Amino acid sequence: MRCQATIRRLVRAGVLTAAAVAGVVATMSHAAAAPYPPGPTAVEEVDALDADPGDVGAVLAAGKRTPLQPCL
Amino acid sequence: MTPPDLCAALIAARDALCSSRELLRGDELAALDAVLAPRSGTRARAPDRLATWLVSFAGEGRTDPVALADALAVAARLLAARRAGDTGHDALAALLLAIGELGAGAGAHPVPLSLGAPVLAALAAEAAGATHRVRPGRDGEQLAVPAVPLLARLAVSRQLTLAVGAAVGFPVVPTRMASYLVDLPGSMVAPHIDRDGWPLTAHLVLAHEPGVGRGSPLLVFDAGRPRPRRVRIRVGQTVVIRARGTLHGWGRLGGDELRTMTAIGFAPL
Repeated sequence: MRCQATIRRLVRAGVLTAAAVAGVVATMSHAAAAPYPPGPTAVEEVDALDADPGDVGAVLAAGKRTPLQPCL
Repeated sequence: MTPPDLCAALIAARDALCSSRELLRGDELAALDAVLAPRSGTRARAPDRLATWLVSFAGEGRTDPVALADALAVAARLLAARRAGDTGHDALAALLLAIGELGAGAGAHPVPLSLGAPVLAALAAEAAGATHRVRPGRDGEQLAVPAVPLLARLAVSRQLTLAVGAAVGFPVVPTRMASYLVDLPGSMVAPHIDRDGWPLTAHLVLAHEPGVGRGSPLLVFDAGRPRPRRVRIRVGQTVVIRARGTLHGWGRLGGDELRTMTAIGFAPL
């Protein structure tokens, strides 16, 4: 509320234009509503797994030295 | 003056840590002792304020935040096990809120990924081959087998990583930890938070013979509900749990029920 009052005072004083305030608000609203990620929002059917061989080797090696179960 | 229900739950957790295998890293008792110290009481009563008070012990080096979360999870599990109506719900809600904050968020989310039938069948076959020689552990506990090649490939795949990120709402990276889990007839997984190093855990159900009943559900505790949410996950479906911040478990399996699934680790990017 205090922020809104400050913005109104700045607009009245001519420091900010109403159009600039509207632009900032529109940008912030868009950022808040923007979906993540740009990739799959629907269910993706996968027939072949795309993985780096080095990462696969790291998973296999990790199983020999770290706890297997996530639950305690 | 800490509310009696919360105080009792913390003391019960301390007793459990002292008397059993629940002592995890050695710092959990110190964390509870800090909260229970005579001078550390609070006049707060609302769950959110109690949670803020609990979390405050993790600040300024007073206690180890990981140990505090683990200790509070033991208290929450013991409180959740009581079946006396809504008694203690505010205390449980406070514990769940605090665990969520210490674990950087709570929740369990469906993962928008559908493996094709050949991939799913290959994973199920690999899981069956990898787990059939494993013997049940103590007290019929959940069996775990480290990742073998196809599961390892799934665990670091671009597709699963993107889908898990979409499910939780922020980008993630694989922790490169994965295993097959087998739940035996009559067993259960008591409410818990996952161990340190498993902030996001993806479970893909590969095989489930529910027997005559409806099948063991995933139990997800929520500060806003007096009882856990019961989530049924069908074969081929994946759920990701914000596992350090969410008290969760699996309901008891029927006498003729068997389930095989994955545990695959991810972390916020």
